[in-house]
Amino acid sequence: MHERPARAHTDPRSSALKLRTRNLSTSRPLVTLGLLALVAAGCNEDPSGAGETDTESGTGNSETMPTDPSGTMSGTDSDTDGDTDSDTDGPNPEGFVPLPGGMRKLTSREYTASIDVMLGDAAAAAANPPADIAQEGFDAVGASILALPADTIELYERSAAAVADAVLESPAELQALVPCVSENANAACYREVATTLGRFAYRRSLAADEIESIAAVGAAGQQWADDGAFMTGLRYELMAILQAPSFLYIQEVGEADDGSGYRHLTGVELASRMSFFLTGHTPTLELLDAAESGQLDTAEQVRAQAVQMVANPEARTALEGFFSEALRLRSLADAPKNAEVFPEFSPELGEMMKDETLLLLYDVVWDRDADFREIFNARHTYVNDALAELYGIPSPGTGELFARVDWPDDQLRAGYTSQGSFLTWQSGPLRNSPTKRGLYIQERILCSDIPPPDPSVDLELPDGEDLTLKELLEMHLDQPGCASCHGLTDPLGFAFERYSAIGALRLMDNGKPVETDGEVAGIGMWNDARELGDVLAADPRTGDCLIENLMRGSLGQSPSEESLPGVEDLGLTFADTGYSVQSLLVEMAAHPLFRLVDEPK
Amino acid sequence: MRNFKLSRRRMLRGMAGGASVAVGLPILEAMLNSHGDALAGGAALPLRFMTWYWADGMVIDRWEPQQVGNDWQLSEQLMPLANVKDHVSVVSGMQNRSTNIVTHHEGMSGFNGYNFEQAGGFNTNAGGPTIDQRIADTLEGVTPIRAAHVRVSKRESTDGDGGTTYIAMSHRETEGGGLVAQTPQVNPQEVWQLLFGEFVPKPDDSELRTSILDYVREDAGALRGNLGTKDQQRIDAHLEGVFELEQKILATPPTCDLPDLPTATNTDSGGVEPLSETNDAMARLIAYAFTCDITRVATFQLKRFVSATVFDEIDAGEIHHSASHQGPGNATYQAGVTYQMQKFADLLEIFAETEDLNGDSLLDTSIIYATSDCSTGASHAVGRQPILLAGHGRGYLQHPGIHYQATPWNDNHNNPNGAGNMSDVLLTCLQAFDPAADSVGGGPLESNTPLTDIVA
Repeated sequence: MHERPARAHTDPRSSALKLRTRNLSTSRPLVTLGLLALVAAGCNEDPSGAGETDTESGTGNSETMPTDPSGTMSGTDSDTDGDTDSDTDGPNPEGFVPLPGGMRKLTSREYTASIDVMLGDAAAAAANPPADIAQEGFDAVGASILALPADTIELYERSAAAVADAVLESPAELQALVPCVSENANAACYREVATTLGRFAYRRSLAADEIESIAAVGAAGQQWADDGAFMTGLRYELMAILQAPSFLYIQEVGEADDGSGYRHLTGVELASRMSFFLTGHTPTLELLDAAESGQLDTAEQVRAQAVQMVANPEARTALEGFFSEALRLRSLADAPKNAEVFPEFSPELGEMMKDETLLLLYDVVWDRDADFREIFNARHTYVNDALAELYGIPSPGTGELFARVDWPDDQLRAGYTSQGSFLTWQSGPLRNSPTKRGLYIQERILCSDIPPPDPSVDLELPDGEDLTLKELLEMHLDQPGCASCHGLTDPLGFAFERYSAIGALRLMDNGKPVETDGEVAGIGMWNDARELGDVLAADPRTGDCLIENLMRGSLGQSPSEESLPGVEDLGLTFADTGYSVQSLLVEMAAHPLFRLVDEPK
Repeated sequence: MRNFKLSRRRMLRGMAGGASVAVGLPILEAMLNSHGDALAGGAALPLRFMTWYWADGMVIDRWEPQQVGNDWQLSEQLMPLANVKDHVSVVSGMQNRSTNIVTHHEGMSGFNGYNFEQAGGFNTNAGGPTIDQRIADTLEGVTPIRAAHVRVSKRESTDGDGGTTYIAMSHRETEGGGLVAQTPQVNPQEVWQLLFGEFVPKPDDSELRTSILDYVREDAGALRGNLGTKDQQRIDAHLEGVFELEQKILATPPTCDLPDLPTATNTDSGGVEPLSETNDAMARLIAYAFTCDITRVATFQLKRFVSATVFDEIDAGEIHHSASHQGPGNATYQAGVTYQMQKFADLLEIFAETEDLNGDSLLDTSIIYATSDCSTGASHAVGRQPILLAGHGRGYLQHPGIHYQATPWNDNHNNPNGAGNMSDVLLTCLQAFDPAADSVGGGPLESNTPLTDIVA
């Protein structure tokens, strides 16, 4: 019953190969629910598939929210929600400006997952797309704004050739998609490949001249082959489809929307956006059928479709990819740690920390469909023997397998920010970094805007042999040039001074007991990390910030100032569902923030 | 377009796939005319250009040589360059005239002479094309590949630095006016593929591949019309990449034998980056590509500024950037600067050992411009931003090298501002390839006055 997270990989290319849950493989076993339940004392799991039930109820709740956008969509009247009609008087009932339309390159994960769903495992394993270049911490943002250099175009050609070769080697999946494909197929089959696979890859039906152009590549390849083999022509036809900008770039341009004054995504554009958002790959042909026959025109239809997609195991893989970026889990194996100070750290330990965080996410989001904010104040976590030893908590005795355990009260830990993944990555090789830890909380958990330091600031820490790190950093807070920002970050970070730069318990710093109490204006006060976790969980920005990060990680765009009212509106819906992430995914897809775009960028 | 005509293309492409790739030195003599003083087609012997970048600055009074002019001696932090000193000129005390400052990013103006464009927080975008691309423009179509771009350390900034200034040290201006960050490759095997993979003997399907590229153009054109300006520039960049690929597919294969696929893949072991192995492998690949005249332009980045790179080979035990903020007196930082100079020296020594077409060393026939993103790392100052020029440039640069100091140290050995204009050195480099060039950069950083002191 428990889905375990897909294995972590430091190389984004290899991780992309493991996207689909049916491909899961792991070099280090993770425990499944049955084992977890046995091992974890007092663990109260609900094995009844509550997730789906809660999704339903979440959806039900949202019916009463005045956010239904259907009235803004191309004048469709099929939605019966009475509240909506009263909101459609203005061009934009929620009072926000949608994000610009335009095009975004597929991330390497999306590219490989799309190859997988179109052409099968072997083809996906052969895919070798150029490495992503994240911006603002997310691959999708980089994919939305960066232009491709020549090397990258060539790497896409090479990947296309490798995928095509793999399909020729094992063509069964393509044959299932386009039955005419066989060694003895005639040239007309190139058209069928272009029509069907082209539609799958381009996420829209192709015009007749497009089909002709693609099929012509196949025919030319067949002529070129010494033996006139159909399959040789197919290789080049596949290469053409996989190198086409229509495949490599997601287009979200939309069409004029009379109701809102902006543009609404066309049916197939919306199908595409939903599919990459919720399942991480190109939309299925069935979803494209639905879109083309007007079955994604209303919020209600989108919601119903989204509920199905969220129930698909692929949704878990897609969300895991998002959290791996958002929580910086991907780089943990690379975390630089001084071997003399932290001899127990290793890339393998970093990977375990990643798995620990993913297991907590799985527990909250999928297994229990619980309040998302538990991520920040959960009193339990998932450890194997090695992590338990690191944290100084009783060993679960499960070896490499993970077990659910409650944090001992005296460690004062709670949630993600007490886990090794956060504590390790937001630290230096030698020592803690309360500034990094605090900055991460401000920027990534609360989505606050912290300005960079004045370039002229002297960044050298004062000498202080007898001082704790906190005492040293507090000197910053006495300098007006530093205090304005460090006052917003460092006190948050001090809450974690009880834990080392790899997450071990440390009660003393430089011979003195650590101090973890703090206060930041606008956030609150706390005595320790556990109380700070509660503060973060209760902060209304925490929910909105998840939405903002989902926009970055999935749509590839940071919310503009003008779009924030839309985020806040969706945030209210999120709150109404009891902070169910499964419900949020559904509601987000149905929200005008997701379905409307401004002029193309 | 090509300067020499020897073609084995049809023969090579006609061979069945799987023919083994010969190992050995390039067949240099075949590329020359009968006198050995020009290329076989009559064109002048090739001059190469590379920019090299080291991160997070240096310690002024340990890096800048004490003596100026011809009699300069290696400073403490330049000591690794001892074996190639005659091929190195030091340009110190210069001024980076950037007026947009956000820390580290402005130092990258040392490669293009433009203020960066702010993109919020620690995100900035390059403000104009870099010198390597300006030089590549003058060599358009001369070699099968326009330029190679490599980086050694894979580590990222942990402080949220972003934008094109951060992700690349080379930026190409497209016809539509957009800038394309030439993001570097970090895997030597990948670099081998991009430099030499096209020329591995195989069935000649070049017509099919270029017909696919024609289709890609068709598809891109249809897409372009629906987009806004920014995305149209991205489509234009894509099409430029398609053109580059097409040029490579259609290029006459080089007359040299292809080098071995390197064994280095820049894969960490126990969390440790193989920096020296990767540095050497990248240097050898570029040296080989230069000698084969597969490309004449390269950029080489040891590590990104502010990256979490740890110089494990010298047991640094701390992120180099973090050490820089412990101040110029920090021993780990000091050792890290010297280490980076050692990696540069390793590269230069590989160039020195590489025999070029007419028997000169590659160091005699190349110009290598190097700088960092600041002078004093702790304060990210760009006053006195350091510059190294290596290579003789076929007689273009002073040989033996000199120490040109734009303004001396003050009494504290710390004149914070520097004098002159760093971009002058860029213009000097550009004029080696295009004597008529009269400008590099723009705004307050623009140069119309080459630094003639370093020219022979």
